[in-house]
Amino acid sequence: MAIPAVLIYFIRRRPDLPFPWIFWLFGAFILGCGTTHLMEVITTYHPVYWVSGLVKAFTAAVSLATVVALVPLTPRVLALRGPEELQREIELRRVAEDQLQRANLGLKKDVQERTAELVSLNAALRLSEAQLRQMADAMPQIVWVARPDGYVEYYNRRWYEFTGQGEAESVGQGWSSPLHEDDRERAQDRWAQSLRTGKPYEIEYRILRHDGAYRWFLGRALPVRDESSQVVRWFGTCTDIDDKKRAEEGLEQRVRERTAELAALNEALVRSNKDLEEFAYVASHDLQEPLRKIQSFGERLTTRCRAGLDDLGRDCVQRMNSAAARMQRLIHDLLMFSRVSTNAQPPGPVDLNKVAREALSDLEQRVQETGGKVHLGSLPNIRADATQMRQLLQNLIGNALKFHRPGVPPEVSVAGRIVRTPKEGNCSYCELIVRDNGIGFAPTYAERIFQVFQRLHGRGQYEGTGVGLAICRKIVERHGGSIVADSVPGQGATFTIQLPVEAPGGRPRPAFTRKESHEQADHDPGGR
Amino acid sequence: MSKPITILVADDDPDDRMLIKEAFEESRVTNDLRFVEDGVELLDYLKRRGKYADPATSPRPGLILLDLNMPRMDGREALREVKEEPALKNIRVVVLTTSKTEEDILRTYDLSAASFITKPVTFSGLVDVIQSLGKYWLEIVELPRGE
Repeated sequence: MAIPAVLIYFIRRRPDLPFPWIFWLFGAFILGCGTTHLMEVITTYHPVYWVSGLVKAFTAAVSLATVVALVPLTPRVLALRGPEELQREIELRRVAEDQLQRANLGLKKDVQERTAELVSLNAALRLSEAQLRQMADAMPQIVWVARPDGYVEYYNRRWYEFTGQGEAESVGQGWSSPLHEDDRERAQDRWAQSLRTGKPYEIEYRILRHDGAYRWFLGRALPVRDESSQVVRWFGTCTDIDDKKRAEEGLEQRVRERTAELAALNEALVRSNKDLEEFAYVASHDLQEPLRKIQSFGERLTTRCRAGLDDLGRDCVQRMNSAAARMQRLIHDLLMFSRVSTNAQPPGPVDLNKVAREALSDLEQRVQETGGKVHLGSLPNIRADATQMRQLLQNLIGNALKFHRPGVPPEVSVAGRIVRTPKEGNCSYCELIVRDNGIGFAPTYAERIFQVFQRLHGRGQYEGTGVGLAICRKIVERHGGSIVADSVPGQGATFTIQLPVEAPGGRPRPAFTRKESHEQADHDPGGR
Repeated sequence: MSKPITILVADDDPDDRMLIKEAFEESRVTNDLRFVEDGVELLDYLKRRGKYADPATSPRPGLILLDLNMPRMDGREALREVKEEPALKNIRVVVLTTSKTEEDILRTYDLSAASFITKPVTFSGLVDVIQSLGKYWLEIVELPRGE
């Protein structure tokens, strides 16, 4: 009885044993054995053999069960580790535990250090952020920051000050609400485009100020990228360009107005030109016609009625005829003068040698009559109105031949060269010099001879109406050039012409500059 | 040798008409000279209308001297009409005008005028022209016989 009691006690105390039921079996077996022994004793006094037999049977059954149980159990028991083993293991475990403890402590220390670092870093970061915020708020522009998806997460103080909007309505897409409705869609499109392509954002738009006025702003933003070139942020500004924009608009408006003015002026001038040409044509035609009659009838008078006319009569008719002829020439020359502007051609390439030769061939007769020699130097090519260049040279050479010294055959030289000048934007000009050995003129008249109908001689001495040089000057000035005369009386004259190599403008200039209109007004053919 | 044809002169200017008459006299071209003052009268004459109905007093001309710038109907129009009329288009028309524009010259020849002459400025010039005309049209050239 004692042993099972101990076993039971054991089992009770160690419920963790893996095979408690074996102990129960053992207990039962021992109990059985003990009971059989007890029965032996009992049976000596009482012959309850059947009880003894039962007990023995029970015991046998238990022992059988135990054997059966022991069979699979034995290998397992054998496998149980011995106390030394366990002790060793326990030792190992303890060592491991120690190590773990130490590692833990080390780790804790690291964590503490790291935490301290982070805290100080955080503080620095917060300080830096605060400074940036201060800077952003101090900037005169509106500054904003957006996420890569376009969500604007930060505005500096200016934004709130300007728009009067609160933070809640501004973040995200709220930037577009204070925009002028005409600009809003455009801005949103541009923003979407920039977000999509990553290209810098730039646009001009109007933002509504808190007081209800719109002002023009230049909105710009640049993307900030990480190492893999992905956009992580958009940094943007809005700069007030309202004053500049209004000034620009004002300027544009003034330019528009001025252009319209100029266009109107141009139109007026074109019309005036046309009127002038018509007038000149009519004047020449209709004015000349009665003159022809005067001449013709004058002639008739002298030829058919010679007998009926005395000397005085003939003389009168003669003078009448001369006067009419003179008037004809005046009208013709005036027409030529006016045609310098009205019949002007756009400039084209002109070979001055060819032009000079043509002019000379027209003066063939005068060359013959005066026995003169004209020497043409090598002349350059320029861009000009060829007809007018010819007129120019013809007048100058013609004059040189006409105003020769009595008894001295005229000698005329025409020379030309290209002069390159560094001043005035590096343009070059052509210089022509027409020199003669004729009668010359006093230097005080150097300007006067260029005036219309101004002559230095009576009409008895040299023919001409005094318009040739006026025409020359008009032609030269129309081409943007100049002409001056130099002379010593009795020693010939030199005319120096400067012409740009490229005549200005492709279109004929308007009929009058202010100077010319003055001239024309003074020499109005209707007036005199 | 010189054909005795009638020469019809159309010119609106009375002075010019007189000068032409004088020039013919000076150049001793003695043909029958008739004058009309504008295009309307010219056509009336040629078509025997109005006061020109009687052929005896308005003989058909063998040569027409035509001024271009005339009132009512100018020479250009008259020329076109004459040349469109089958009965009239064979009459030689010499244009004698103050104009010398290239356009007028071109148009005149386009309308089948025989010649284009710019009126000379001087009387003697006019005489020369008439003399030449006389010699050319009346002596040298053959003209179709009239009706």
